[in-house]
Amino acid sequence: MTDTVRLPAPPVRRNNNKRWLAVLALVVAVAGFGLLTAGGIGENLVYYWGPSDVRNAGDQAVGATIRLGGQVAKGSIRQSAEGSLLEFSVTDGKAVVPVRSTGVPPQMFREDIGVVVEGTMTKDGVFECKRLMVSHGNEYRAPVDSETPDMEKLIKSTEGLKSSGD
Amino acid sequence: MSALLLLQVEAASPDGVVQGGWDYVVAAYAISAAVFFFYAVTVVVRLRRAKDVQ
Amino acid sequence: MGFLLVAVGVVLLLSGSWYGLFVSPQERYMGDVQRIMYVHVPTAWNALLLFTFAMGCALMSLWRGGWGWDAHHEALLEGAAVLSALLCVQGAIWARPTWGVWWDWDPRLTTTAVMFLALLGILALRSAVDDPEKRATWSAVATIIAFVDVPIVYFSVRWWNSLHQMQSSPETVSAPFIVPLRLNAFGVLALMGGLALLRARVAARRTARELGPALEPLPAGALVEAR
Repeated sequence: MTDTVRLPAPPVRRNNNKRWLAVLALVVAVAGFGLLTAGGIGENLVYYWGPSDVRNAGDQAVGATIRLGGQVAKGSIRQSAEGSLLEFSVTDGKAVVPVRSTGVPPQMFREDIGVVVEGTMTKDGVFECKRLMVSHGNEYRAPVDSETPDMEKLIKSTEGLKSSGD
Repeated sequence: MSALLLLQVEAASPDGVVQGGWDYVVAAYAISAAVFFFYAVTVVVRLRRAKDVQ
Repeated sequence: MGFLLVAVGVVLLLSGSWYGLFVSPQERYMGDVQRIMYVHVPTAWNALLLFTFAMGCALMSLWRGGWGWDAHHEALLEGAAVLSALLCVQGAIWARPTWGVWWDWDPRLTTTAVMFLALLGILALRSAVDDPEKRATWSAVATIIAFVDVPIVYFSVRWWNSLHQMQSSPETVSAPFIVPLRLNAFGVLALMGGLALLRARVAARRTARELGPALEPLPAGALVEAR
């Protein structure tokens, strides 16, 4: 750690005539940043549409590949017995869009959780989902004792599902 | 039609808890450790070489 | 100093990871997978932090013209590039079991990928220019301009709707999760900071060599401690 490096001695140091470049680069950077933030790129760059946007777009949303984002509406999840079909509604509190999907959703999927679904709006007003993504909030909580999933109860409820499905 | 195939099951609606997944955790930590280790090795090796040259 | 910081970083990372893997409770919904947070978030913070330090060195390199600033500029750029690459990989591993996908062109993920590519580009520029003077000047200008992406990465989750969640804060994270998060954050900072100091020595030696034999017989007072 005591070893030293032979750096050029102070007299041979680089000239200070690059200061205008520092100022210029800063100006370009700040201007670029200002353009990005104030120039409305925020409105032009849309990752997903909300249910209201999709509803307002009407027929325009039909046929185009779009992403729809929102929350899974309470009590809207319907799953076929063999788990190949999945239906639920995405809501933003104002509008609701029913979504049809196939396959097994991510484990985090549940009521009230955020989802982003990629696919197309069909003429019958149902969103045909090709890619289902679950987005979670920025909250990380240790489980409270009463809230830990009760495995026994869970297994019982799935048994009930099987018998009623038969 | 499809609604007939579906069955509304309030109780079995997914609880949203990720089960298991330790393999992902192990992969993330192992890759991170490997990247830090190998980057450290390349830095120390380059430092040694730079000393030798001088 | 460099080796000492690396050692401190390793100790912090080992204790933080141990705590995060074996002491912290499971998360309510993410279960064990949430433990990836303790490496992913510190990596993210430090990628942005090292880029910020690199940008400071780039400014000073142009303003004051010392070769030390240039050497540290190079070292920090490399450290930031390593961290951003690792960040994308960790993120993908965490996203698969939670979001359900490895990757999506979400604003946060896209701007982070841009940051990694920008860092690679500046490093490529540096290795392509043989004249130390030009290398220092051009790459410093490139770093200052590319730094614009750093606040965009940070605010991307606030400005645009995204798949990636917003920044967490102590209010949104339970207390037992914060301990390993902080340990690993300072661990990565110490480790990568120490490695950057060592890497700066490599850069400084190379520059000294490139500047020619005229500098070889230095008077004792000209020896500069590389920090």
